[in-house]
Amino acid sequence: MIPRFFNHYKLWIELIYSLVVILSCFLIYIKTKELYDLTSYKGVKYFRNTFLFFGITYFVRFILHLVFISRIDRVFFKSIGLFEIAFFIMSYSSTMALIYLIYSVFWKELNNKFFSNIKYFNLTALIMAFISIIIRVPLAIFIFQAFIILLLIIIGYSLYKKKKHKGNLSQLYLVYVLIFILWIVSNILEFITYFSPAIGLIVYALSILSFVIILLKVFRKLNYS
Amino acid sequence: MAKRGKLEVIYDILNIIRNNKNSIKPTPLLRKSNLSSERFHQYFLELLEKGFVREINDKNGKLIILTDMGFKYLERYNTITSFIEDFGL
Repeated sequence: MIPRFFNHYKLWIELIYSLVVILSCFLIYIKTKELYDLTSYKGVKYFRNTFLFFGITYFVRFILHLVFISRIDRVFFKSIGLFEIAFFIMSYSSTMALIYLIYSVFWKELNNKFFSNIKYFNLTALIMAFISIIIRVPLAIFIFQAFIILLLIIIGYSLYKKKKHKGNLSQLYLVYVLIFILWIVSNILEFITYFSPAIGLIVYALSILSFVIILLKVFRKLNYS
Repeated sequence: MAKRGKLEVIYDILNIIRNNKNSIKPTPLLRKSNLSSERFHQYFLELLEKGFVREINDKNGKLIILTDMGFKYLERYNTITSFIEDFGL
């Protein structure tokens, strides 16, 4: 995402925010590797992919902000289409991260021909990212993400409610929902030129908190003796 | 009795081998695992592929033993299940 208006102060906050989230995501991904190697459990695979894709998304976001902060002539980057490429990668990877997060919770419920095949979602995410670039309406991808998240949550949750033997929904479910909402809100804020900086800071702080809560929980649970 | 999940079945099979002084013949393992012959073979092939167990030939015939990975799975099993439950996976 290329914010419409920048100031130096905001860029530094963005950099720190992205760095914390990138570190959290990749640490979660690395820390759960052994768990997946031992079990090949689908839920763990989707959970890891969530943070891999979030990590990629925030990494690209971080690079973009570095470009802005470095004061290098942006004409060069524009000429090689860096911003379009970055937006395409971010759109695709963030959509996949959100889909994988829903999958990690509802994969047992979403067990029919269409929903159990992640390839369809991969294709849809690629097409949506492509369309957003072509029509040059970056906001479209976030509306699409909000729609797909809502759809999958409703389907997953209604199937879960119908199940005879319900397992307990994780207490972390609220943190997951928070991650969805904050992702959408933080991106929509990029398109609003005049909003209180305090709102932006609160959104960033809550996002960092959500990722760090999950990271600490992963470390605590997998702290092998 | 609720159907055992895949992770639990794997744990049970590996645990039977460990409790048998880490060496058991295929037939008693099949019997003790409480699985149909077909399901047992599916699981057994997977355990071999994942490197959790190994077949060795002894003077008494074929024996199944745990590898280091197999022991590691047993050691980590409680952590694995608690992780999956806590994260709602």
